[in-house]
Amino acid sequence: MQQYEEGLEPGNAARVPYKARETRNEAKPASTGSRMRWAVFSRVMAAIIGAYVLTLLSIAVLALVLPLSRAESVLLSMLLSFLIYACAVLWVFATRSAWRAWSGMLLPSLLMAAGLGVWWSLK
Amino acid sequence: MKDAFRASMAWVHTWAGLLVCWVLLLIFAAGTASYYRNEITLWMQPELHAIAPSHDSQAHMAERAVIALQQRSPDAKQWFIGFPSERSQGLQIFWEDKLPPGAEPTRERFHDVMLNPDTGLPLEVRETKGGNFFYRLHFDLHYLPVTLARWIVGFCAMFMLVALITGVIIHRRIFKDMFTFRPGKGQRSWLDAHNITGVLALPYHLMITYTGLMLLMYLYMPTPIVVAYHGNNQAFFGELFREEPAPEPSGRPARLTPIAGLVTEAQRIWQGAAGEASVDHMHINNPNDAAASVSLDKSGGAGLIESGMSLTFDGVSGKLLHEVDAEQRAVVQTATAMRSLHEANFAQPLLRALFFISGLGGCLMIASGAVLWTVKKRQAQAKRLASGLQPTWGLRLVEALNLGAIAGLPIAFATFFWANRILPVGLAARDEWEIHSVFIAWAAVLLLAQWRPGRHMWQLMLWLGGLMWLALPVLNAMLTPQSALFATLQHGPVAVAGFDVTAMLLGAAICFAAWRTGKVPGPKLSAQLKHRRELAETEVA
Repeated sequence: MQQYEEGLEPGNAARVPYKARETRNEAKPASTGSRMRWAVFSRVMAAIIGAYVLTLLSIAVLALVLPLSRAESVLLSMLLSFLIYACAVLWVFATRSAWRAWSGMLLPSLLMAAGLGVWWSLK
Repeated sequence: MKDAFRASMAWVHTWAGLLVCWVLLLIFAAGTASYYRNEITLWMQPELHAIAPSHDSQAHMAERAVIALQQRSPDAKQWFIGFPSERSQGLQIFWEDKLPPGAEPTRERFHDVMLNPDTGLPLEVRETKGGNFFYRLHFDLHYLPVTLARWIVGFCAMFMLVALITGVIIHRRIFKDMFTFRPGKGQRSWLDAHNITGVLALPYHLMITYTGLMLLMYLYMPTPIVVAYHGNNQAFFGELFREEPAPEPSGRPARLTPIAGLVTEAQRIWQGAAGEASVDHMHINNPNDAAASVSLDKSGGAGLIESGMSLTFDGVSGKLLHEVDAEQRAVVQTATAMRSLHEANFAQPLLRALFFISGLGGCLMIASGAVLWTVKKRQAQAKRLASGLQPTWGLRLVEALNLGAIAGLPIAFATFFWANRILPVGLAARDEWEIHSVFIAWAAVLLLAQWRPGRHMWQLMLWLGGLMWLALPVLNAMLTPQSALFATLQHGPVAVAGFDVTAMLLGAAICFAAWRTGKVPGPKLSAQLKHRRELAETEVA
């Protein structure tokens, strides 16, 4: 990866404003351009789907652990859901690479899914 | 590091905004109109304008409504009575037929009649969806299955939320931008316009987007109910709103308790509570059955967190079964406050007008953002365009969609009101045709825009839309003279006069936009003119 200059590594694509990227596309071989396009696409998917899954799981956990009555915990976790979603989306685009974006969404999701699975089987 | 973060946020802002801006504009415009949905409905039912507000007691009105319901549907599943209010003068009755076992629920089982509150006789009103069309449109869209439409709306609203937050992040001088407008300077002016409309009403935009998502969160974010209630939404709502499930009909006929007594009883209980001690509406479940029950509801008053109160009586003995007080739980109060903020039910006329203006500001923010994208793109392609080449297909597409969506919107909405006055009263499915005409008009503008997406078409469509709005009070005065502006200004209803005045103001604003579109010859030329003027000034000096 070190032979790429800063900003041309696939994961960094979204950090470069689109105008700058377009001009670079013209100068570089097509494969670099398509790699970046994939990196952007991957990040968009991580934001739309990955962050959504993360949100769904975190509010499920939240609904179970909040120290309020059952109805209130459920309501509060749903009220917070869009804030969680929005923050996750921003993080996906702000982080260094698409790989990091995906792992940041999926690792906590897996942990929470496992936790929910254990809770479900114990019940 | 910081610049890279800003750059990626700018990228997200641009694309999240652009992809959904046309649907968002529709949602915002229809939602803004919904603030006056009762007033719009009233304007669209000129037959009601001559009726003076009733001063009779609610107990008497309830009796009349029950007689009307007994005549029409004695064995309905439930009856509903809506009392006249400041914003709606008729006495509304509504009933739901029993569903035969195994039958698919359809919309046909609901019936709706407007009564004269003083006589209990049905009001002969032209068929129209009125302001409810805009209300439904802003989250159910139209011609689409409801659930699909709500997912589309939620998707767009989430994009809006992200676009708003990233918009704040990429701003360096948020306070200064509130007071910065440099007109006639091409891209700069569009950016300023986008910033002013966005920043001035920023709290409103954030609030309306977040609370809008919240109203449909049961659909979008179902997992908490899945884990805590095994996906049983009814169980959750029952616990949340402390409601008892309505009993099943027993099948044994029984005489309904006198309704007037229950209304007076409810008014007595609510005396001293916030707001007036009046009932807003009532439900009668399983009328004329031994398992009948009567619920009287009072919606929240003028406060944000005042949730509704409700009393449920046995429908045969008239005994009080169940009482729901004002809400005390903090989380539920929060949710109630968010809902009231979105629906503005609590808002007094001035505040409601401010909400309406903020909503219009939101429409302008979306529209100017969409135009800004094309202006920037055109500048990026300046060399290409100067050499005689066509703009890229993406730019052309966005320019045409902008024209169709932005300039088409006032035309489409005005068509709704024109159709309301012009379509014959006896026409079958008249209310549907009012709505079809909206989309026919809009489709026509979208096609014209695809054909010639240029400054001339912008100008033409804006003039057309502006004149259609300006002429609405004239049309109203010609076809329904008793509702003409000079009549309603003197004798009311105030809402109808207000509609006409608002239509003229909107029309004038759109005509001004059309005139400006014709006047400004483009950023380059105006810069040249300015340069020349400056030269002339220095020469004089």
